[in-house]
Amino acid sequence: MSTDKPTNSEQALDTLLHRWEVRQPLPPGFEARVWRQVARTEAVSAGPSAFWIGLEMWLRGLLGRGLAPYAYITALVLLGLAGGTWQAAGKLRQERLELRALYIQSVDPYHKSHD
Amino acid sequence: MRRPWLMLCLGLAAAAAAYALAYYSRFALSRTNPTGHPAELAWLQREFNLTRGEFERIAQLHQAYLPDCVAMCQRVDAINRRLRGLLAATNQVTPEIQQALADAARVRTDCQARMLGHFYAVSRSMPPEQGKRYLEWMQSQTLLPTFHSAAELGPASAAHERDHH
Repeated sequence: MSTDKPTNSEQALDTLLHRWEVRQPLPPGFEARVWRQVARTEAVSAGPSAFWIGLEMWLRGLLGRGLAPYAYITALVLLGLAGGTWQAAGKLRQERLELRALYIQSVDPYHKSHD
Repeated sequence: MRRPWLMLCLGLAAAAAAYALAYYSRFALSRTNPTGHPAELAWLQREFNLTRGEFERIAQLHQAYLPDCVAMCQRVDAINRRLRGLLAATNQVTPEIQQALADAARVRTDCQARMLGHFYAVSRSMPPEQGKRYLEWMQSQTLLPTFHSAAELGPASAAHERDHH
């Protein structure tokens, strides 16, 4: 008896699968998510560059949606502006203290360094 | 496939540019000194909101005071050198040391009186409110002692002083 020949139960399953229909709609973005997951799984098994590919996939997922790229750029620009202003304020405060000390030294003989 | 990296780099470059813009515009704007006077005098103008005329008058007073200040510094240096030599030569309060201490006190009094005169002259060249603020600040920084008596510091120090006596 050959093992390649389908049995009755296998034929029944085959028929059933051919008749099967999905009636409920898939959730939005399901297909894209499946392909992303496939790509991620392939990337993980790909070797040393897996990290970078994974990161790229993650970035793609993060930045590839609607207004996300604009929000990302805007957030970084605001962060840069705030950082620059804060650093400059700190430096100016320090410089102000130095100039105060310098002015006092310029008028007070007891604030100058004497030998 | 390059787009995510491009976005990442673009974002970082934008952040760096924004940082540099904010830093240098704020810093450069506050540091401008078109007067040509030393930076500490330009600071005085900003700190006390002086007009151009007020500032020029104060700058003249400052220039006129500087030779006096240099002469005072030389006197302070001379008396300090003398006192240091005397102190190194003995372990007792000799009449020479007493004399040198008295001379040092006289030099200090003289310097302080001249400084105070300069502070009054500068404060008179400022608007009244700013002049008052300048005077209070300079006096606290140069003439008034930074140490306090125990009675001034509060009950704990007063108790310490009582125990001490």
